[in-house]
Amino acid sequence: MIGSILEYLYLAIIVLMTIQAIFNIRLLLYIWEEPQQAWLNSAPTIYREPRLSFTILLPAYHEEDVYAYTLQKVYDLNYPKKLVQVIALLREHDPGTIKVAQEKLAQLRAPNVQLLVTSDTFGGKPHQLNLGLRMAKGDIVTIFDAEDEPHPDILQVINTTFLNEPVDVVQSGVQLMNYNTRWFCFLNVLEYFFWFKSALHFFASCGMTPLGGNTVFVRRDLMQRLGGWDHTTLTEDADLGIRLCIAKARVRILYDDEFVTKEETPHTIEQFIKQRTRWNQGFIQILFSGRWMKLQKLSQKMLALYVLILPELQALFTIMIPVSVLLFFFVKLPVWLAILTFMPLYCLIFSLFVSLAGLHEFVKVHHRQWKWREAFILLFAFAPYQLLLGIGAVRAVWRQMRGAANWEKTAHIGQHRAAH
Amino acid sequence: MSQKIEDKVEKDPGNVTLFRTGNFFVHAFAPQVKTGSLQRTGGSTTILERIRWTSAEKRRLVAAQTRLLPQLETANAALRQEITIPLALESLVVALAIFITLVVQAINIFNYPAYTAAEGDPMASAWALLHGQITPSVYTYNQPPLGWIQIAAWVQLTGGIASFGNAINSGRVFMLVLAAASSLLLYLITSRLSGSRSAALLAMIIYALTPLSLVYRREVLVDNIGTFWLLLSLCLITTGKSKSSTFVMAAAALGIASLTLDNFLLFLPAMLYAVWLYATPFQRKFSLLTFLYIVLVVFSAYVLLALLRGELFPPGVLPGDTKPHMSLIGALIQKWQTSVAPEQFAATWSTWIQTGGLFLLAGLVAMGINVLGGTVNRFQLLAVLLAATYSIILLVSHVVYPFSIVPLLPFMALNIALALNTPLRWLTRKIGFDLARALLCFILIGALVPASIQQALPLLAPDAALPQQQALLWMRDNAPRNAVVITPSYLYSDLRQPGSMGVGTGQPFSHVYIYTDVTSDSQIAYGQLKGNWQRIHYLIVDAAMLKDITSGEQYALLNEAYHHGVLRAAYGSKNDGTLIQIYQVILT
Repeated sequence: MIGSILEYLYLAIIVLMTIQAIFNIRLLLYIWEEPQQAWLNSAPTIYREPRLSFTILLPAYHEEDVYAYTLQKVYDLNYPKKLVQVIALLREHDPGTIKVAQEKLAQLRAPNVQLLVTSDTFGGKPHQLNLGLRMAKGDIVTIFDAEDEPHPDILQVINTTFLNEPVDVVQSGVQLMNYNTRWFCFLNVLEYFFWFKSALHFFASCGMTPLGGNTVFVRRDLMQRLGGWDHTTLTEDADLGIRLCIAKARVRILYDDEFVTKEETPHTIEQFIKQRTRWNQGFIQILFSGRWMKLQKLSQKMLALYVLILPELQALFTIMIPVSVLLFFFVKLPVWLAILTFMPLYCLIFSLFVSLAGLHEFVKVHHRQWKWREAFILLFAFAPYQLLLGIGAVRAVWRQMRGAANWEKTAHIGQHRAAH
Repeated sequence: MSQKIEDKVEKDPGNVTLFRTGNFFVHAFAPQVKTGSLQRTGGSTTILERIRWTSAEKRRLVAAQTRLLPQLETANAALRQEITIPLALESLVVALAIFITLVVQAINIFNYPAYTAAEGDPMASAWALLHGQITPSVYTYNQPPLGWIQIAAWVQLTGGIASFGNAINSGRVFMLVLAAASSLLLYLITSRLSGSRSAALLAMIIYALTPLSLVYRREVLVDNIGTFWLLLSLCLITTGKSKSSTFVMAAAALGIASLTLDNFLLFLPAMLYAVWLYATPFQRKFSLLTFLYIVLVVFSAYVLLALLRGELFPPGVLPGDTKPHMSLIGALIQKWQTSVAPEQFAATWSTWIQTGGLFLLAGLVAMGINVLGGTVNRFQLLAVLLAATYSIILLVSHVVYPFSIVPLLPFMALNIALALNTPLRWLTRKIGFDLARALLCFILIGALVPASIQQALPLLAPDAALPQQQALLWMRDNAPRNAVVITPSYLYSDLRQPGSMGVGTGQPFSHVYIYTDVTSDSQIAYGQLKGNWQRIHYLIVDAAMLKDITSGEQYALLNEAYHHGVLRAAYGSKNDGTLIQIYQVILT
């Protein structure tokens, strides 16, 4: 009796793992499902006349190494200067970056580039953004992070997209570029690649889009009506995505390989785990805030729930895979059930091969060279990478339970710039 | 709010701090210019600015010519259709053609050809499967079990193994259904590969009416089931409009095909080429990967089955595994170690030539033409690749039966249609009269149908299976139900199943064994029969079985029983090979 209950329970877990794994693979490959989908990621080839004005928010904290370069890059975007407002958002306990920014601003001598220094009492990035939003004058508000390298034509592309299509939000692609600097970089870069290029389109088609942290273009009036960013969460971007979806904003995802905003991976494993912990903990906070329950359709709620608990779920399931293989050999199960226990492992191996194919695609579209050595590193890095993700997930749960909610900063040194 | 901020702005003499409260302050740099003049939507730009913009944009476009757009062209030969035919009419014609070919296929289906072991084995296994075993005796890993799993499902669906008289009949009706489906699939495939519906119809007619098809497609063979799945896979690839969901289904179909007949896994390269052709360049990489992986995963169920039963490796390979048992790898090795029998291949070859020499010759010539055409038209190359793949499988197989040609037939027909269609299209296009090509195809079809039917009718006329059915009836009426009966496989299910031809309304026979399972080293010879020929009561012997038990050393037990047997009944004649005899073993 107990044996058969356990058997059914085990079967249920296996089925859940398989469904999750297949769904995950579907997310990875969504954009390649049908030929027409390619156009979703194709930026307009003919730009419309610049009509919309932009406010670019540039929040940063201790980014003196890269900030001046980023300011220059943003200032140099191909768009009429009088239609662009750049607000450098810095914090008062960060004199280094403030100094760098001031020097840069003095050098640029541009009226549309402003510096806004905020007090640290009221928190970090969301607070900076909210104050930046108050000063924003453009039709469209957007964020770039301190280490970002946006494409020079990005504003033209977004202007054209907003004029051509009835949208309220455009999430353009963000791409980590230094795919071969450390062993874990391959998979981290590919995660971004699949997430922005493929998975987000699936979310958008369901009406539940967890947005990225930058290169998101939102109509300012909409942003102001929503009341800006939530400063109580660690992942204000994902929270904003959900709130935009509750407000039924029309979200457009646009990942054209040519126009992605280039970023870098965390440069140490410690940084990587910290970053993951922050994201995962932010997701847990959003989960408990319960705002996602306000989404209209059940499918949207389920999808939101899935995204929010995904890191923990994946960590659990990854541990389960070796367990299920061991059970296959050591526990006498009915033949069909035993064959079924292999499904999650098969899915995991498939996602490994999908990652390899993704690497091939990535190096092709970004004009890098395919090297077999790197493919092998990716293969060997696959299992340890899952371990890192698992550590990130467990750590986030642990921190949340302890009540630690401080922001663990990810340092940037500009590896993506050295990479080419 | 911004108004409020501006009101509170402190005019700092250094022009640095615009605004300061408890939680933030604003720095600005000279010259201080209001940003309120940003443009609003609706564009208040001047005409001059717009002109400048337009010319700048033109310059940019000229410079940006090298921009890569996604490549989304699907390989679609069907787009070349020039003669429009309403779908309803097309369906009607195809349905009519399938109906005619099915009628021909169904003529005398229950009585011709005579039942063979190749038909009996899967039927007996299907019966065993419905009673909790993979095969009637030990599973030898000769074939993956999915073929007879499907037959068992069919039997369940149609209300039992005796729904159509006897087991083989039931299987043959299943084959009829599959033949209709396979014909339709070949039509769709050819239509997509050639872009011509008349050529597709021609291919279908050739496939359905060639004498080889008429004979072998009606037999209960796993080859027929596998061919259906193979064609389904190809059809999904070619008609799927490059959607990954259809590639997934196509991969699953090919997986099922190879689980039905393991040789079909060797079609993988040709099928990958088909995916490569039919996926857009944008999706190609991931489509190929998905297809390949899913086929292998589905096929791996066979390996896992062996692994689970502890029968993957031959005994002695794994530590502690010393007891003799069957194994998947052992069976594979044995298959390759079986010596090639040239005389057997020669006999098979002459059967083919006698039955369908013209068809095979036309197919070979067509393959040659398509190799040449394939340098320009990759669809022709695909057709050749498919036919060549199976030809190679046949050539390297150590044992080739006459029915082994079944999977080759649709691809030969495909090649013939393509080889006729493509040069004809080229010619008629030159003179601007494509209708002539279609007409020519129809004339060919018109000549082919009556000719093949005329040829087929006498071929299919003999009641070759009648003696076998009579033997079953004799057993039903005369043998006690607890008797130990040794029989060819095609009578097995009918002796075991209540209500079936060999049993009637009474109890089924409880001790029936297929003679190939009673070899000297088998469980049955040692266990149930205790190595004693006297435990055998009846032997039902046909020509093949007689040859085996009198010549093969492993059948010594049966041979002895045979020599102590008294002939109780004999049906058929020795001359046409339909002789079947029932011996009762007399105990001394």
